[in-house]
Amino acid sequence: MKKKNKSFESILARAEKLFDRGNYLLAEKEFEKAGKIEKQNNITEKLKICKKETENLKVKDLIKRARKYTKKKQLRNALECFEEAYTISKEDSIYERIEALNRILSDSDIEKAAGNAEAAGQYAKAAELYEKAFAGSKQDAHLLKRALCLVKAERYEEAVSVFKDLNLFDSCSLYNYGFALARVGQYYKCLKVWDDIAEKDNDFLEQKELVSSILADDVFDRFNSTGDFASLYKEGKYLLDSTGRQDLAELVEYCKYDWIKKLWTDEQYETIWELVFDFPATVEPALIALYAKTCFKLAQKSKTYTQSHTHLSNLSMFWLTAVYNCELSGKFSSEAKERENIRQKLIQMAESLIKKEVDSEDEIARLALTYWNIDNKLIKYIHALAGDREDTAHLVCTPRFADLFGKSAQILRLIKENKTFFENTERYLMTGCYYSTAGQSMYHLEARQYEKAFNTLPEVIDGDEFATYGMLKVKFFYGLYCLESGERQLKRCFDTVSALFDISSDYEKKLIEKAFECYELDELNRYEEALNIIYTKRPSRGIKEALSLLMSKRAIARYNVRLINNKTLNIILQKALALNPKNEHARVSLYDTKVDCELIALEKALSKHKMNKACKIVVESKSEKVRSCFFEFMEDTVKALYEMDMENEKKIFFLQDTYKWCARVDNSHSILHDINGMLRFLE
Amino acid sequence: MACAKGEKMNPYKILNIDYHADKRKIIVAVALAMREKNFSVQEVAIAQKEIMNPMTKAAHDFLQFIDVKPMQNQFAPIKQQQKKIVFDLNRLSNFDENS
Repeated sequence: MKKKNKSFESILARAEKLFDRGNYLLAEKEFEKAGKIEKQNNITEKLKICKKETENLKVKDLIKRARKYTKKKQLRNALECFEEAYTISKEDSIYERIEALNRILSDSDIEKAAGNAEAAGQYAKAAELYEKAFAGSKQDAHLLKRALCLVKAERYEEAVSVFKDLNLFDSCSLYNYGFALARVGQYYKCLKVWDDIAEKDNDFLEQKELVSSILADDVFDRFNSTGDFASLYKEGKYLLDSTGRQDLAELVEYCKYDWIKKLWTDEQYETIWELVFDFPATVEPALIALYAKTCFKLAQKSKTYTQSHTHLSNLSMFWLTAVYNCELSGKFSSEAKERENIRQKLIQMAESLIKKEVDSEDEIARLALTYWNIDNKLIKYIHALAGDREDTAHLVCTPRFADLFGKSAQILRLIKENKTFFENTERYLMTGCYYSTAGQSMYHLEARQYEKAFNTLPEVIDGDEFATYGMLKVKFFYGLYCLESGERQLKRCFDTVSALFDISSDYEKKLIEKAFECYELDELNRYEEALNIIYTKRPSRGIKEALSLLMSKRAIARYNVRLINNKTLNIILQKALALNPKNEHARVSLYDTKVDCELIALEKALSKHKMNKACKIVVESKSEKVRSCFFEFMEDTVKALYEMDMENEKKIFFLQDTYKWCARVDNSHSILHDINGMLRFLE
Repeated sequence: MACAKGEKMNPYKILNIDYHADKRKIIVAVALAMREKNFSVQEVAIAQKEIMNPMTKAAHDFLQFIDVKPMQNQFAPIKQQQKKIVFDLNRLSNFDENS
């Protein structure tokens, strides 16, 4: 078939149509055809536009492909696409992408080269290449690989300088870092880094032991040549704790005190306290002084509440022991009087420190002051007892100090041997008690922490008179606390109290006074229970009287809230009176109760018209109130009867009966005269 | 009795002297302290007063200085007991495999 010749117009029309639809590629071809037939300006313009748009589409397509390649990590293909796109468009953004890709490809090449060098055992070269890779990537992974290569290349110092800025977690990095540290002589740091390795491989453990030994030698060497006692102490202590090398023990202790000397100058008292807090079995006077002074400085300096108060409560234990210590106070002055003045000055300094805190209404400071007062009093006794004797002077210390350093038994022996020194048995027992196993409980008691005091009583007392005294006293005061607070521990507290009353009757008096002061029913219940417990063991006159009074007071209180009736009240009051016939409260209450009972019985008899019974009650009663009640009733009855609308015969009959009943009670009562008058009138 | 302020301060630190300092040294130290003005005139004056008074001086001597020699004497002399170990540490490859 013959090909149909297309006209210029139809070609142009098709080209325009394609152009309008945005199909620039086909439109360009059609415009080219049309341009060959006839040259027109607008065709040239349209051709330019079509070419431009076609190029744009190509660029877009290339970028799309480049992205796809990037996603597939085919960076070189992506780069080719971007480069082609840039050749067409010359856009800056495409150029930037080409640059970035080039950098990545270069890094990747470096990393590959580094890996190859490492595999070939060229660690120094690998390390350099990893450094270059890091310069481009800024990734720590490259630095870590560099550091590991440096270790393998035996360039330990460089390795350490790279490792030290990295966060290391895996065993490989930690091991190699530690190894590099060891090789540059930083054995302590090496061991600390290796401590973070969880694996317990035998080779590794052997190597760790070897480094520990090298460190120990190094510590000994440095001890003889340098004065960095803080480091020597820390490193020596580490070895001592981790390896148990006892040959280091003395060195560690020696360095500790040299470091303490430096810390004291720098006023680093917290660190000193941490260093000396692990109290030794025996204590030098100089060490007592160190404890005391550190406590003082810390109490003075500490900014935080908890810190300050921990040291305040420790202050009395150490400070008083130090200022009363024979050797330490001997340095105050050679003159005894001046020595004592300086001691008192030092005591006053510490006391002011505690009191200043108490002034700020601080509860813990108040507790510290209580402890201070106890310690201050006790140490005076012990000092008076033992301070001037060479064999016993070392025993002058506070109870808590004695307990801490195992001096309590000796002090108790000293107290026992000098019983006559004390002004009375209780002073003797009390002094000993603070140094006994019940001592801590006594401190709580003095601080009015009754529950704590009771709960910290020693489980076994084993006949020790001091601890027994403490136990009795704590139980007694805890008992009083229970009586006031309503705790139900009365039996446990008061069953032993009679022994305490034998030591000092003051406690009995105190309990009785408190018993007399109570009025509330709950309180009365508790006090009566307590007194009953005591009465069964110790029926003393005081307890008997107090119990009797409590019984009557409690019975009335119960009666008033209708917990008991008249009858029960009566019985209880009689019992109370039997216990103590001089109990006026019971006596008066009993009389009142009897009258009340008679009145009730009288009212009952009268209401039921049991006149014989009513007369009998009144005749037998000694109460004027009962009599009055009877005659008031009779007078009302007579008056009502007389005014009643009733036949006279009946009235006379009833009046005569009334006369008879009244006469039986009192034949001279004025009512009889009134009734006679009425009878005469009616008759 | 010294005032509370005197008790709290360290006169030795203020005057920059040790407890062996005699009267002449103290006076020189006071003059220096006044000139250096690290502490107020009042503080320097109190420090001087505290040091010059035998009783407060003794109290400060007790409080401001420590003596660690008696404790150290318990541990001295310290001798090296062990032979020095030759430093022969080889890198273990055990951890390379784990990494």
